[in-house]
Amino acid sequence: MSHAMTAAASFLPGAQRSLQEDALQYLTFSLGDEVFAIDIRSVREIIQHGSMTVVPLMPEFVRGIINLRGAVVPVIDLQSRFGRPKAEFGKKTCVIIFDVGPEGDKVELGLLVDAVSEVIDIAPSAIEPPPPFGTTIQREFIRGLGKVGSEFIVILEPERALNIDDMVALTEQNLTA
Amino acid sequence: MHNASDADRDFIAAAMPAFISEAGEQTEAIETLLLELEEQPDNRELLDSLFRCAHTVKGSAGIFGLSKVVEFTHHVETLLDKCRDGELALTPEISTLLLQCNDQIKFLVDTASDESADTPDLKDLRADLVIQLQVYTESAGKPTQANAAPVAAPIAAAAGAATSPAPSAAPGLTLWNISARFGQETFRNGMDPLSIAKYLKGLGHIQSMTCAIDAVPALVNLNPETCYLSFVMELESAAKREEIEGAFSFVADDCELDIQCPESAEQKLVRAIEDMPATPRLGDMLVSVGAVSQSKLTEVLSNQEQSTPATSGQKAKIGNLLEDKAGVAPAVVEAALNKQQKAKESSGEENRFIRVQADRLDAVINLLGELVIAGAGANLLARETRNVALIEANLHMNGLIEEIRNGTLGLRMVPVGETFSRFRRVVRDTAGSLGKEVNFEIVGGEAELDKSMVEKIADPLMHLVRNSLDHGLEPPAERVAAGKTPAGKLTLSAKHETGAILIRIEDDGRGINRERVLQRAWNKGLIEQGVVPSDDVINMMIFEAGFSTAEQVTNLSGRGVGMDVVKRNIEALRGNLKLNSRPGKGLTVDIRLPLTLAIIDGFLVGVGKAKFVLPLGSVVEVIEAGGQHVRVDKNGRHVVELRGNVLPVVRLRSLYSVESTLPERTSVVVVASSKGQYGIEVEVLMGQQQTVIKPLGRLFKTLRGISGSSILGSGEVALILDVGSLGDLVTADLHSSSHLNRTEVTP
Repeated sequence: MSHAMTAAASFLPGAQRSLQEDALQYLTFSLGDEVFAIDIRSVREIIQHGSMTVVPLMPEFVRGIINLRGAVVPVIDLQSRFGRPKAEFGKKTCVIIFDVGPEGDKVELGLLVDAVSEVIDIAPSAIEPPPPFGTTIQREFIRGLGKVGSEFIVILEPERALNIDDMVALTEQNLTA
Repeated sequence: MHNASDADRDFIAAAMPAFISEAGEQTEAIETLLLELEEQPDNRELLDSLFRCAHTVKGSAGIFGLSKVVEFTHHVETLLDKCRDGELALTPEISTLLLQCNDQIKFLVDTASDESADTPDLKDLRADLVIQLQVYTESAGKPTQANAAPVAAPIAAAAGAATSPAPSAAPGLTLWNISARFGQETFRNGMDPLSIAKYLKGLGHIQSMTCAIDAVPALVNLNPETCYLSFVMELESAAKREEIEGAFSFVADDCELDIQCPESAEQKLVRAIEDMPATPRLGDMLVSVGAVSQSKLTEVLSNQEQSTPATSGQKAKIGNLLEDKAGVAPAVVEAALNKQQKAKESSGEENRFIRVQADRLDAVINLLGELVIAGAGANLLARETRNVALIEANLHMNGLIEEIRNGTLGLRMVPVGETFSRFRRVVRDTAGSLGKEVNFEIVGGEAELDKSMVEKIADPLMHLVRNSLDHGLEPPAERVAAGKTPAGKLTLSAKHETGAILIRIEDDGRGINRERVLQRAWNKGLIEQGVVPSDDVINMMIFEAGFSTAEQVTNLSGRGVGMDVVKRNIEALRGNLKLNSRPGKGLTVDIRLPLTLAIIDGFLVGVGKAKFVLPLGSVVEVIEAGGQHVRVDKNGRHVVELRGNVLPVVRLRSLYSVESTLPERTSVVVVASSKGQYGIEVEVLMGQQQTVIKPLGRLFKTLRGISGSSILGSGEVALILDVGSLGDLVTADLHSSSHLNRTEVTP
């Protein structure tokens, strides 16, 4: 029994290392004129933006709830979460459904974006840490800057940018404000 | 051989969870029965079922090779046997001992697959319990079974005995005629007819026993793993029919069992008919038991043919003819007819329950949700085609879907009584160790709640019950001094209340000592020194973390952990807690829980484009009101006049900032909450419909006035209004609540 466990323990870091060396896949999407990327492993699916039910008394970045095949999923407006004016619905507006939160306590969230572009590979070596200043969004929301061709794409850190507890705290503020 | 043992292991591993859950039920039943027996110690039936439960646990543990469980339970069983035989009275001491033993059985079963969980301490404890059990067992009279004088009763042969006198049994004992035909799978199922015979021997004296081997095939065709046996025995015993049947409980599924009392000639024939394999023809049955001769039957049959009137297609009943013409006793014919009838019916009477994994049920419920939405979509499309037949077909289908949905959702609902009755033991033990007397009462255990809620509420309830016992109820002497009965009263009740369930824990103890609580809160810095808040606020202080006024920390409560957890757990279920303390007279704790995940009858209303669902149970009436009828009173509240009374009104459009133009006419839905009646101003009424509550998740946990969401037939999501907390908003102090400040903003 203990033998098997040590074997598993020694196996796991190895597996992670090999993943780190390989290029990871990212889903890119656009918000306004900017392009962002998100680790594809947390993405469940992408759906077309449809009818949404507004939940009253919620901060602006909680755009509402949708019916995802019988499950009720909240939709977050990423633009609004970044402190910008809330997103307008366009032809290409999509909702990215993804999981956020620690293992065993995952929450399904929808992410309202202007358009979904493509899935790209970015090698870990091509990712630079977020610059200390000069970013248009909070630095802690950024996992890094991925170099794709000659351009840099902001890779989001969903565990920070869409941290449930943070958002609950903001909601509370909104209610008592 | 190797493969066979592997297969056995696989089988055991696969069946283990079922065994554990079943044994868990049995131990729970044992506990309940023991507690019930304390109140009515002479109830023979309870004693019998108690023994059966222990026996079942032992038996099934044996199949799984759990020798520890078998060994230990055996001692318990022996003691119970003595009690059942009346050699030993079930005193409270024995009852306590048995309860402790039951805990150990439960533990052994739960940890069946984990050898390491059984510590030496526990082994010692069990050994000690066994010794105690044996002390009682041996103190009882010598077993009577051994003394039972072998009575020389005439042994009746099965068929030829029609005229011989009924065999006699010793006084007080009954001579049972048992015939059992075992199913072919008996051996493969791990059962052995021999062990059943041995068990029966333990119940009394076997006067005769014949093993029928007529079904055993020739050696070439014989499969050694197949059971071909059946036996007929005469058992002299004081045991009841149920106990004898109990011996066969593990083979009951595929065993033809018949247990009969000694009988008259007529009864004997009746039984012989019942014993027969399902024979479809009435005449054959009667002939074979000798009630009528073959020649007589042929005669009657030919008469039947002739006497059939050509016009009516109905034949004269063969049974009636036999009665009339052949002089067969009506009772015999009836038995034969019953046998025929039985053969036609399915034999599923006993399996009234099916165990289903909760996940599977959830998966079905989720699929159903989608089906409802898909059905509504199809309905919409059908309407567009204006094809009447198609529309009708769709309507019919939707009706069926609705029925399936209701039925399936109902499957998740369980009565709370089961959880409540678990507290009997807690109350008994706790009161015992505190030296207090308690009359514990359960009211409304049949109120239904979603299974997942029932599980989550058990722990908080346990804390509250213990708290009432420990801090609330006084010791007998103190109670008498206060002019109360020495025994305290603790009531646990449940009832449905407008879209919620109300669970109430009520005691007649000393209530909350507000001064002491306040002092404590000051000392702990929970409230600023010298500040005296309202009584309700002080009462609720007991739910603060790290708060305890108990002078003495008992091993039950007083450590200040628990009550805050209780509050948190209940709030996590979107429920709320209310205390009603009557100093010196008692304490009532009310827990209101929404019926999360449950179905409610909803009333759908619209405000602007938004749709809301109100629990129909809380809707009192709807009044039509032009927008101008809702006015603002001098306190800044919206009110409407209803039959001379002024009713506060929640204006949803402004409370929830719904963006739309105010229509000419609005309606006010009058609802009843625990705080009284109030109105909710809405714009569109869409009538009632069944609603499945979908919880909103963590992101919305701070949201008040909304208890969840629901998916409408069109696929839209509607929010369900929480009448209780919405009422709090409307009745709350205007200046302290931002929500109401919003309400004042007229659109």
